[in-house]
Amino acid sequence: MATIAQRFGQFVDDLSVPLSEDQHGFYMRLGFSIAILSVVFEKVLDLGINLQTERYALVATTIGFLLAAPMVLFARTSWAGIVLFAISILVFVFDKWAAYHNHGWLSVWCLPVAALFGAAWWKSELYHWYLRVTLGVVMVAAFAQKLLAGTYLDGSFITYLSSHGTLTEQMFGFLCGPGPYEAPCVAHQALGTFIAFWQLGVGILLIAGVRSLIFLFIEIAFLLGAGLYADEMNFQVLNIAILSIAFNYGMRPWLCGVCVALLIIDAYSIEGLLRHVI
Amino acid sequence: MSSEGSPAAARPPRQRVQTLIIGVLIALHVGWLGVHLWLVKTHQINPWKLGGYAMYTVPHLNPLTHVFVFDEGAQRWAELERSRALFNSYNFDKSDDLHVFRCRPPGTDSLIGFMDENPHLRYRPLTIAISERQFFKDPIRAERHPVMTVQIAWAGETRFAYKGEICGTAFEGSTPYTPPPDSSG
Repeated sequence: MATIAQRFGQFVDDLSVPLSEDQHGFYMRLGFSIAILSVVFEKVLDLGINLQTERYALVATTIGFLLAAPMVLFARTSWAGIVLFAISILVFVFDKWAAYHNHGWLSVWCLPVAALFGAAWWKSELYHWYLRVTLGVVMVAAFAQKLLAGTYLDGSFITYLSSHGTLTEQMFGFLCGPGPYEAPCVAHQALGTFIAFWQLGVGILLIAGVRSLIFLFIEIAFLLGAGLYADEMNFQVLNIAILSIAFNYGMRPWLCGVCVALLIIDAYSIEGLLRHVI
Repeated sequence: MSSEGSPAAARPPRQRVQTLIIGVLIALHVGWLGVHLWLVKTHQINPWKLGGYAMYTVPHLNPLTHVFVFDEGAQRWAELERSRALFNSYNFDKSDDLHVFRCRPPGTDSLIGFMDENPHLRYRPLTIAISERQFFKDPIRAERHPVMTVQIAWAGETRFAYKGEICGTAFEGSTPYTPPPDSSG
């Protein structure tokens, strides 16, 4: 057990080698850029419809997102990129607030705020703290919503997904034996309870100020697992990008590769790709 | 916050303003999340929407608008097929905030919007319904059920009355109607 812990510690050390200030700044801005890209990937898909229906304000916001993503990358234009993103997303939300998804709302709460911290926003400890607390609050809220819905502790939603969900959402069906499932089994109850309390635990740790990179990597792994399960990677990429800034780790190349790959996969959906291959 | 390393009073003014603003933002966010929980519990809003992070707590509701016209010959209501584009509901759905407020009756602006975008259905007895997928536990499934129906009756060509039911509560009203100048009825 101690050897595993040692090896894991070594692995984390390898992933968190110290960087020069310039490199670190670049990776932090890259995290922001990837966060914007996770929004862009949804908006771009709407671009055709908005053009057809002559909703030019929404077309302009999509172009704003597209321009903001590369602008944020460079120290000189980063602040302007954030302001452009902020204007674009506020226009978008004003028009589509009723249809807007939680992914979008999270970006509204987290990303435009960076403009408050000036041209070198990525250096602000206060901004990092704000992101950690905001993500923590979101996790606790997600837990509270699961309790209110009453569909996780009893496993009913996991069982529902196992029977009626998309291809990847059915991945835990085997825990209850062959379907169809009319009532949750103990394994699904345990899984639903674990997911709910995991979110609560992560939320509390984030709010409490835990900044260990091991915690970050475990949470990233969980987010990737959840994204795979729900076949929805955009939200997870946004979360990972925000976490990378919040933990002052930045979007290192390995993480960037994972996120970009996931965004591309998400455009087609995992189910779509699997069915194409199979 | 502790990582700032200095008491609030010793911070430069700019940082104090930043701290104040993000404090307000966090308070607003937490406040909204509390309101959202309350809205889900007491007003049965669509939990997936409005930024409450309640996605994947129930299946997607996917609200759909249905339209029924009275067939005089057969003396019965017949549904117009959505798949054949026999009606439009863009204005109706958008004015009703995409039915996020599930138990709020549609406003007259939604119904007027429906008449505006469906000139071929004006001045006829109509029933508009909204259905959504609801989650059941025994046995576990999701089924589409109507949550709202509203019947529309015209008094001439300048006014219509409506009467309906949403989430088990009745509502009714009437409104003057003037068709948009560029539409034909």
